[in-house]
Amino acid sequence: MKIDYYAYHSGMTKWNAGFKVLLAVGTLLMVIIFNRVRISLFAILVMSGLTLIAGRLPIRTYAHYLTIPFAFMLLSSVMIAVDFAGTPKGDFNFSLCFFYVCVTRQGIATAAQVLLKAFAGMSALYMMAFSTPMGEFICVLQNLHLPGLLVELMHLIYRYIFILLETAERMQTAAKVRLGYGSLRQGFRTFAGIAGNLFILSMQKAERYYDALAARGYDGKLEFLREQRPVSAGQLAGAAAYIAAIIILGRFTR
Amino acid sequence: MTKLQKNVWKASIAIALALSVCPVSNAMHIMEGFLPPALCIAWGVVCLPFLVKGLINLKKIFAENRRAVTLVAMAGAYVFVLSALKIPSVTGSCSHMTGTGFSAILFGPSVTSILGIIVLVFQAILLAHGGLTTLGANTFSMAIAGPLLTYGIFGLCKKLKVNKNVSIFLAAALGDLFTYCVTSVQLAIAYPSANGGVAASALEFLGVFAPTQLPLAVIEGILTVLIMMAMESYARPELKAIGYGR
Repeated sequence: MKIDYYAYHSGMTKWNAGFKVLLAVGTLLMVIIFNRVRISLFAILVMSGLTLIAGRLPIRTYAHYLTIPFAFMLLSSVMIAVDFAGTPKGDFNFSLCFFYVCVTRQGIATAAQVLLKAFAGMSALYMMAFSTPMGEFICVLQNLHLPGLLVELMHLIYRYIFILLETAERMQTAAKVRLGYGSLRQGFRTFAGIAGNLFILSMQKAERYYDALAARGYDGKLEFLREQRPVSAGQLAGAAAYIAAIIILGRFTR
Repeated sequence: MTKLQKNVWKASIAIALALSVCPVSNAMHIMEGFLPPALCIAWGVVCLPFLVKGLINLKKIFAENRRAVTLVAMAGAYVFVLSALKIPSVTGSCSHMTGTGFSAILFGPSVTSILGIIVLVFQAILLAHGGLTTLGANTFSMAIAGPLLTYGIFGLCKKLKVNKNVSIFLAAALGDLFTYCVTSVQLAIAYPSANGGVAASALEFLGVFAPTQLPLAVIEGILTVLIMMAMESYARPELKAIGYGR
């Protein structure tokens, strides 16, 4: 949950939220549509550069967050590279009694391409996540005219998440000092107790929060104050140069 | 603690101990950038009817009772927090519940689809699990397919008068397994195997994720039963208020 904290303390927090979302989503789309190694590399370079230099995110933190999807990525890309067959069909084959594990050059190339593409996607997503507080992201969705009900729910859920997390953490600490996680059996029991208790608390809180909303004149529409943050000419020029560079890389080079 | 609860504890320790060697991974979110654009859009389109149905149902609920707004929002936050809490395991690895099966049992599949997609957006942005371009595919496997099966099994078991705890376990565990199967098929469609096509590739993905996902499904089932038991002893009125157990 620290990503939220970094988003508020980033050097890019004051940038226009719509601009950042557009930049991230645009990068994502271009990366998966072009699907070229050099474009992925370029996007990784620019997006990580923005996060680390303009956003002033410590590089160790960034590296830590990049390892989160690593297990999934590694397993999946190995599966893309590797094939099982009854006869040795690949460029490199390992015999395992009944069948062969085949690896083709083509497969390795595809796996590497997918890996880089996924990394580029993550770097674009992180650029946005580490610089845009969730409230502003939801406001961008609101400007895109998503159903009001959905946006309102998102606003409320976002607020409630932190309340519940704090409560859950307090209960976990209380359980831990009482050896609630002493054994695996006890750990399961504690986990279930906390989860059950959290549910009761959350339902009770929901009742009270509705009263609080109603007392402030809530009639089915939540309004939030938004800061106006114009996009600077330099940012626009940078974005245009970046997109142009990607298109040139994708279209005019072999 | 009743005798029944004791037995469930005992069973849970036995299974958990047998399986505690492995769980290392999170619930299976397909990562950002992993799917080609056509599939990103296709899975999004597949989700649309379910989401529209969910929104219409929610609107109806809110029109009848405005107080439900904060209740449903809290439920969404609860599902998120449940999926963010670390499950205890001896190896010290970190694994999480999906929580959507639980939500399906409590709130039904249509509300779960909406809560699920919101939770997935938050997981992508706040926890770096999953992504925006893969949101459609992840929503289908985790917020629609899994919960639908969970809900179906729970309903079926109720009709067949199966023991409640057994049915909750089956519903949650099988829903989790189904999610993992759907994700594997989604990956296989995106990256079919050169020799055997989509089917062979799906088997490969199923195989490689099985060691982490099978125990996780069992653990998810056990925990869901334990949580429901905890709730039924403490939160009967709240459960009634959201329409569970009628």
